[in-house]
Amino acid sequence: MADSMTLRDCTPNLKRPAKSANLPDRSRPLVLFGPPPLMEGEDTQAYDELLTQISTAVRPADILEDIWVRDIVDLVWERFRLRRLKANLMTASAVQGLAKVLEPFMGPCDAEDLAKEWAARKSRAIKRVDNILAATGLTMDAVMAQTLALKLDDIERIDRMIGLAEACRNAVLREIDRHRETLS
Amino acid sequence: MVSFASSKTNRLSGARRSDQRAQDESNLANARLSTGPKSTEGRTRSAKNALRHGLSRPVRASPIFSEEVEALAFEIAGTDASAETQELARRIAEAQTDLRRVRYARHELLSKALADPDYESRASLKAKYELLVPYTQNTGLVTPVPDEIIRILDWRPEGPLKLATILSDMAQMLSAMDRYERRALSLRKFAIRAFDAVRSRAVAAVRPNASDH
Repeated sequence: MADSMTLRDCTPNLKRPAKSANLPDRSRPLVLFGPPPLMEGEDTQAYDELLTQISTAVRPADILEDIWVRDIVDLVWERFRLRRLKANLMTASAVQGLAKVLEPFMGPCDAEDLAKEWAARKSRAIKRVDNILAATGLTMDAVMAQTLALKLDDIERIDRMIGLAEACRNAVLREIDRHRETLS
Repeated sequence: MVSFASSKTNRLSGARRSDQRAQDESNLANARLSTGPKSTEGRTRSAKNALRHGLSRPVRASPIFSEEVEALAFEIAGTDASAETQELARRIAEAQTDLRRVRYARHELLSKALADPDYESRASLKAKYELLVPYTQNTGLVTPVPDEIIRILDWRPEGPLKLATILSDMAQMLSAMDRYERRALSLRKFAIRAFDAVRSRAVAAVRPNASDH
């Protein structure tokens, strides 16, 4: 997993499942939940690992808990995806942010050319950018701040989506707790 | 709505009451003026809104989804379930199937756009079109276009930029799908609570007998 989120974040302090003799046979494959919601280039094995880890932590006791576990996995996966997207978007857009920072010192065209060479990791360009930033008392933080300003709408949208996924995951966890308490 | 407005008016007195009434009447008059599209074209377009993704259609209306609902309801209710339990299990299954359908639709929407190598946002297409206008004006003939412009025209968002562009372009559609998802989640939550309550009562009714043995 590229994300630093731990399993504890996904399943905090859940009550242990209540034992019930009237539950249906749960050894049947849960094909009813459909395929995992993976996008192009995403790792099926990593998704399966996450499913196994969360299932082990939650220990679903009936099909309703299986449904919730699948919800949690999908929401955690979506959160990972969005956090990755946010980080990658900032990295991919840093060239625009750098061009904007360099603009007052060399004009828009030269700044854009230098930023492109810097993004292509050309050593001469990297050195020149470092020198300009040092001479003007700026750091890469200024570049990232400029990048954030340029991509603020996108970043805000992604943050909102992350927030929704987290809220939804927490609601599911509360429902599992309530369900176990009702049947205990 | 009307009862809320009247109770609000009852709490007020004198001049404020007549002001409130005038405001209510004005609101009502405005609301009557904005009751959706007026033209035939507008009405036709608006009538097709729900058909774009078909998510407003109940799952019971589809034979495929109905089968899925029945299979899942059986899994939830288990064997020897009472009629009440079966009915509640069916409600959960319907909400769950609906939820799956919404999530699948959203996933398909994003996946298809991501997989499209020529995907481009409307804003980008418009900007490119405007860039080309000076080369096609007056004569109607396409004059040689500089390489730099060709490069810009050929550019497509890739990687994270592409997904961010898609999310931005489809924000309205995704937000509509979020509403359907929240509705299905809420229906599922209350259906499960009702199901649990019945199951809990059944367990409680069995327990005293069990302690007799």
